[in-house]
Amino acid sequence: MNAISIRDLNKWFGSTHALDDLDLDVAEGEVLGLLGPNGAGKSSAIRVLLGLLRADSGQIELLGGDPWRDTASLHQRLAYVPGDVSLWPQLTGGEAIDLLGRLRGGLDENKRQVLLDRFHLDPSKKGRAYSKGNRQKVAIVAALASNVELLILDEPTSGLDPVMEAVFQDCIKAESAEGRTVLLSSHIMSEVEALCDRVSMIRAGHIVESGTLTELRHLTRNSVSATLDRMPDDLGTWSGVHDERTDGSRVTFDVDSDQIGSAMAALSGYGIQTLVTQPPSLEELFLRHYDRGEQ
Amino acid sequence: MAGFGQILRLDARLDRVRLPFWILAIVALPVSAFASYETLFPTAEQQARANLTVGSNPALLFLFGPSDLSTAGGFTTFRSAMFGGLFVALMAILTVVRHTRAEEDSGRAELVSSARVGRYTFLVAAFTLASLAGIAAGGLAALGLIGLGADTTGSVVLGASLALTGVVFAGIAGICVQFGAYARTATSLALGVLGASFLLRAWGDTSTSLAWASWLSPLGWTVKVQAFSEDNVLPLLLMLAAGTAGLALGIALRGRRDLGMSLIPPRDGSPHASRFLSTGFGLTARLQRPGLISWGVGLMIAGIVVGSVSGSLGDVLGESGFGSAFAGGGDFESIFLATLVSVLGILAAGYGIQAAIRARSEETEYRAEPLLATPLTRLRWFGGYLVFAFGGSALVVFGAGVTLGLAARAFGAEAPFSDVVATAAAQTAAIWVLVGIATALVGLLPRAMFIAWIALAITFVLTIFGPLLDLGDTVLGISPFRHIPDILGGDFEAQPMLILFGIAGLLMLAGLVGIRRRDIQ
Repeated sequence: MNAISIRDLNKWFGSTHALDDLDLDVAEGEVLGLLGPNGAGKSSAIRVLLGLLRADSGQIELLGGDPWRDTASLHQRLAYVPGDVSLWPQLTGGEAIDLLGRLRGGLDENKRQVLLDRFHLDPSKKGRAYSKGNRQKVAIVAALASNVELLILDEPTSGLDPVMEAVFQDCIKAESAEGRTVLLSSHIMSEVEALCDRVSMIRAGHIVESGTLTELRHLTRNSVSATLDRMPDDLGTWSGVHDERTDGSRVTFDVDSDQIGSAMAALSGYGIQTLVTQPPSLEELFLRHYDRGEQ
Repeated sequence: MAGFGQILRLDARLDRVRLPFWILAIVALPVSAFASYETLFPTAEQQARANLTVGSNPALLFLFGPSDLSTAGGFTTFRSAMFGGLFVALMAILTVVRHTRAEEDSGRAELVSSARVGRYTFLVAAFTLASLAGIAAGGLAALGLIGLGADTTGSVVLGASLALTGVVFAGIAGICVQFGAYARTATSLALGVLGASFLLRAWGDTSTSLAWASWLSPLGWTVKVQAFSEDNVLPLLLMLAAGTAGLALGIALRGRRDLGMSLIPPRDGSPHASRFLSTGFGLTARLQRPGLISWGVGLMIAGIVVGSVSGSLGDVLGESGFGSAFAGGGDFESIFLATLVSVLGILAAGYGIQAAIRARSEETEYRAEPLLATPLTRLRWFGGYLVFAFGGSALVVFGAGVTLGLAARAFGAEAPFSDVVATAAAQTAAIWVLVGIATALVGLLPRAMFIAWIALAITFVLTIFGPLLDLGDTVLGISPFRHIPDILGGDFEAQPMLILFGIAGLLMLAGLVGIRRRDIQ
């Protein structure tokens, strides 16, 4: 059963094709990372899911309903943290948390207090007095204290310091352990690697890659660095090998993940002295994807 | 003052579309008045009659100060000194707030301040830009008038009075932005000062015993200049001095506060929301309450001022030699009350429009988004604003009618209290049409909210100048206020009111349908 299921979603803003045949699935209980550069359509997709934007075409199912038609009843079951939190200048953070929580149908008073303590957030300051990070904490506490089925988080930690980032990751793990579904749009690779079961990469309004981190890694290349007794002179012709460079007795190259076995076998004939292979980090996956996209 | 040149250029560039529009609108007032005088009043007899009509109309005296319509220059001053002065003052206030407090609110000032920019640069640059805009408006108006063959001295003096009104209010706004913690508060403060100067001037001009009161008002000085007839220089000097003093005070106060903070530091509030703050409407009420109170109190004070002078209009007009044109005090009074109640109604519509538009600004400032991601529906969310826009505007005009009626009775006016209040209440039908336009815009054309303000301005011009300019019923009928029955004159017709309510209802419906269907920013 999918908590979110989007097929062929299109959204135009004037002549800008913001979402271009976007497909996205989030299974119930999973944490899905939505990765993409600025302007790729992450926020637009989320705003369609929240019923704030009307899709121009496509099928969208959110918790079994239509986000545009069944807005109010669906919103009872989800909580949302925007990337750029704007608070009411005349309200305190505590008032904003209570208001948003009550609008969602009530919040867990104990959990609210625990979260305030964990995030070191003073709820009696007025909206203006909070820094960007503290405004985000207000939205995070309001969302997490509501005990909903689905959390939609749009770059929720871009203003948090590393200590608070760690607290945030702990909280999301705890939510996930309780069976909640999380859609996390993020720029922070370590956060996605630590939290997400699956990742979807979005570029120019289209999902270009989806899968678990292992699956995604499999689609790309490992980097190999070795010191050898003899240098192979036909390295460039080995199947799956790219970007080969030699420097004295040292050779470095990238190899397609499914060709790594044959490359190692061939390499062993040249007397391996040292060998380092690295799976691609999410960051490299990301950069490779979007660099390739640019070209 | 480091970086003054760059900041001034930046401010000017940001306003390169807006300010020319303001300046053009201001210049158009005197130039069109001078150009149309001969067409409107071709014969000496008609000119004398216009002079008598306007001179004996206490409402116009209240709104625009003393006038002399027997010459084209005098007519130009009547049409543009007070009215143009108000526009220049508004332009100056909005310009100064936009480039000081609003920049601090958005955090842009912080970014720029970290570069080589002095502490006072923003204030001085904003004051300079606002003053230059006023000078441009006044200068172009003077050149235009001279080009049309107006007396050079009169043209220059009128231009100078407009320009310096801008300088004075740029100075006042420069002080207000130090006190208000947010751009919205600072603007309200400065508009409050503008409203108070207007009332003080109007009070002084329509009373024999309190004539000195207009000398206490910056707008009083604008009117005291009387270009083309008296060409007084003293008020011009007063304005120049006041503007400079305002800037100096603003600078001194700015030195006593931190960037982004007001002089009075914000206090902490409650860590928990009250029971009231549990619904979308609870939030809207919290946000709208200060606006409703300040507009309500402002209009009630205006009602007191209007009411207090209404009983003794015969004295001041009789003294100026026009009294004989009418049978007695009662006529002055009914003309006066009918016009001024419409003006209060237009102001109440201004409140209603800004209350409806507030929903749109909550949206553009991304505060609607988290609310609409909760079960709060768009209709309930927007509906909360409409309760204040429609209900609040009705309440505000009713309150003004009550204080006006009470003050009129206390100061010996003849109109019965109940008729005054009924007339004020009847304005609601016309007010709601204008508020309906704003509502429809929020739902259907949210990028074109300015249309609501243009509609308000057209209504004002038609209501005040329309009858004098002989525009004919069709044109005058564009103003919804034209169709409100004359209860003070003893007429009451329900039908036109019902039609107005119907139009307002349809506009509101259009807005509600629109907000349900469109994308939320």
